[in-house]
Amino acid sequence: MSGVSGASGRPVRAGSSSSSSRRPGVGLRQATRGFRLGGQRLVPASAQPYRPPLPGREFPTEWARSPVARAARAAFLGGIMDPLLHSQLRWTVEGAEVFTGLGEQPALIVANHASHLDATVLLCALPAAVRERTVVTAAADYFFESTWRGLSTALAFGTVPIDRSGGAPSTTPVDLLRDGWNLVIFPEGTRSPDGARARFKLGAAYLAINTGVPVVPVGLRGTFAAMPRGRSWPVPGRPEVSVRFGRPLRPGEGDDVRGFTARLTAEVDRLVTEDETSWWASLPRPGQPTPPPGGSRAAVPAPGRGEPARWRKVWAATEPPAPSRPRSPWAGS
Amino acid sequence: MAVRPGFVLEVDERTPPLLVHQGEGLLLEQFPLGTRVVYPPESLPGVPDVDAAIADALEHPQGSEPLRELLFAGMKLTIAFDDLSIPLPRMRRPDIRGRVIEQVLTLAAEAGVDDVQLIVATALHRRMTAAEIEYVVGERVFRSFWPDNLYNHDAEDRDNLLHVGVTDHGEDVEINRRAAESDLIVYVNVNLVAMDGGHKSVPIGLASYNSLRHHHNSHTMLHSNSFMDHTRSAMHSSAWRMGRLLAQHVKIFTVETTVNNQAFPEKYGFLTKREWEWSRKDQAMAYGMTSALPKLPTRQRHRLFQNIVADYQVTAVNAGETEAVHEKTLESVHRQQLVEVNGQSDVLIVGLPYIGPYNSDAVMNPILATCLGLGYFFNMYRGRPLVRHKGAMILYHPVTPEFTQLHHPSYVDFYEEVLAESTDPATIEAKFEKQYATDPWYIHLYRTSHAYHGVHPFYMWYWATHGMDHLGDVVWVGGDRRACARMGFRAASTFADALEMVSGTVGRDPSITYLHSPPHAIADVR
Repeated sequence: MSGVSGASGRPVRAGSSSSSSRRPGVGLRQATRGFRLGGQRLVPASAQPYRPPLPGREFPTEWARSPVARAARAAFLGGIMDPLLHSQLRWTVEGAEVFTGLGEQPALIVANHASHLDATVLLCALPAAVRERTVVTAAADYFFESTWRGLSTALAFGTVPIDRSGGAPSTTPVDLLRDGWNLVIFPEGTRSPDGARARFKLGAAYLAINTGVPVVPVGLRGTFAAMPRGRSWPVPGRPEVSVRFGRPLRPGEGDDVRGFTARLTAEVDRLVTEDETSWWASLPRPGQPTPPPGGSRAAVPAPGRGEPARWRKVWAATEPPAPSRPRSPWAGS
Repeated sequence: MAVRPGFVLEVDERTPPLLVHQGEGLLLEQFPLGTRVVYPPESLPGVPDVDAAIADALEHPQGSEPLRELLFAGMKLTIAFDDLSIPLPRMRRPDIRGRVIEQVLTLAAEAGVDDVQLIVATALHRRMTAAEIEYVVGERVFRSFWPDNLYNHDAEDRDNLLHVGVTDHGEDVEINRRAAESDLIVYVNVNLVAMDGGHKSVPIGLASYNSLRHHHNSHTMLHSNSFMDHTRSAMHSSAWRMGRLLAQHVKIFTVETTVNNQAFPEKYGFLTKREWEWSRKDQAMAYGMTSALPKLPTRQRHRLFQNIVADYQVTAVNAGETEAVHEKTLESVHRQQLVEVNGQSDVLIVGLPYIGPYNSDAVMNPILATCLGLGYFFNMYRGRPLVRHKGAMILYHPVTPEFTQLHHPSYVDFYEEVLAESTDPATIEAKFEKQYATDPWYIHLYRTSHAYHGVHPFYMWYWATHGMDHLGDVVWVGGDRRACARMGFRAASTFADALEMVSGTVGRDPSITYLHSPPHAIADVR
């Protein structure tokens, strides 16, 4: 009845194609990424147990703002990270002179966030004198969950923990601003998974209104393409990254937190658009539709459709910035 | 420490490569960021004293007099029990069925019952061997009753079948004559998943083909949404009608037991733990096995897996009237396996393990793999399927076109002859089922050897009917191309290729859910 035969009780094989040489699954090398020889285990964010916020138990970072730590940080950022980033990326910085106008006055520095490169690139783009008195807010549940990581990032980048779980607001940022420190904040709260700018949370505007400090908006372009989520080193080929500082914004008389957040968001988007096009083209004009979030080239929904597909957002976010200078060998570089 | 419930993980950068079963192999796979992973609850603690729990269940049954009061001298007592299709893998000795049967027999002896027969409720499954039966019932019971009064049910022994009646839906109820003519049937089950037990025990386990065909057909299986929810399963509704009719003719005392999620022994602890909580030893075992298994000779790899014995612990024993007992049993099963999942996704991923209900000591042939994947794993839901209508399912299994002739002779012909003609369950049912169900050679092998009944591969195919109807695309990662093509599916070399292949159905950016099983998890999809 059948064309297949075999000894009773023994498996028999019906005609089959040869098995493919490509095997599914990750190789051992990739699998061993899970090895953690020291320190705490890495636990996926969604698998972490809920911990109610404990008031007054923040990761101590005062030591990282001591003169010795500042000197070490300056040497690390200026002597190691800056040349290293220049070797891996082609980058341009525009508008850093805004800090000259601010003088010694502390400021909030607010930027879009799509990559682990953002904070480093932003710090390295700051004038050295500004950088020296700048700290970066970092997610307490990510950067400060392990002692080793908390200590190292506090020393290297001057990070301070910020609770993004919606617990009681920390007084540390306010204290830092009052002590004269500049504070870098990424109001999206996390890196964009697809390069598209996410909604800004209200914390930055809240701080600005309550402390009265100016806010320096920053448009970062190209960092998602250079090192998106999931990568720990920039992609090869020296991708282009640009950092564009905007004029300081101050909350107006009638500005509430939401209104000021909307202004900040619009200005960051405008800076990204300015970087893509020109200052003139980026200016809002009466009667024209507002540019899409994340810049003029960001993915927009098709007419009558909802959210654009993820690939379109990634596509838009990974479009290389237009070369700022001609790249012909005869034209000079 | 309290037992942690099941939960849905979202894959992020910190998520290590996740374990995926692939037949007699294991993989570590990196799924895309944002993939949802459904983990079953941790193993519940077993009852501290199993024998005391059994005694208590028999003395204080649900909706029935205590068993002691149902036993009397001169009565005909039949004890029927589930065959080796559950639990999977087999549980460490002593098997819970043997422990229950011993206590039932002790009570019967006290009451002076002489006429006792024990029947393995195999339905159309293969006959269990003497060693397998002894493993389940224990040496004491085996020596006392084998072979005359402890035997496999024979669904083709016309003289030993009794047509009890017809349900109001016109379904024939025909079961083992000895059982039907007994003063009392005691049915002992292991309720591994929510699909088992209830009226699925006696009316199916002891039935004939004439009775089974009413619910084991493509139409009923298509309208069983899902098998894990008997209130929404046409197959279970039919069995329930038969069970109620049967209960009017014969007294049935059901004993149902549930086990926890400890589906693997301690040394394979990594198979039941969450990957980011693996100890060094677990990591070494996982990485060692994933890389060593493909290099092992097939025979040794097969032996390694088939020798796995689960460290199941008994979580509940309930006895009494079938439906009342089953309600209690389902509570216990749900406590161990139910996981709330928010909404459906475009793609469902499952890794099929080395064993299913029908390949104990045999290879898992392509038809059984299809039944396990599209029949069982796809149906591990309550409410709505984990994957949306016309979404895609990606399964990990080698789908090797190998068959164990001793157990699955009709499968070979089903694969070569029937599937070559059509893969549509309704078509093959109409055209081929009767021929295979009445083939004298298959019947002979079923009755005298250890072969599944000739119609059994059809039933396996019907199990997958609902899945095939619901899904828009099915791709097997690592599957044999020709075997998959024979069954109407496609094979991919890698997960990335599979995603590429299903992009025509679900787009380039689908939402993905990976059902991390075994141990079993039933997704309660909201």
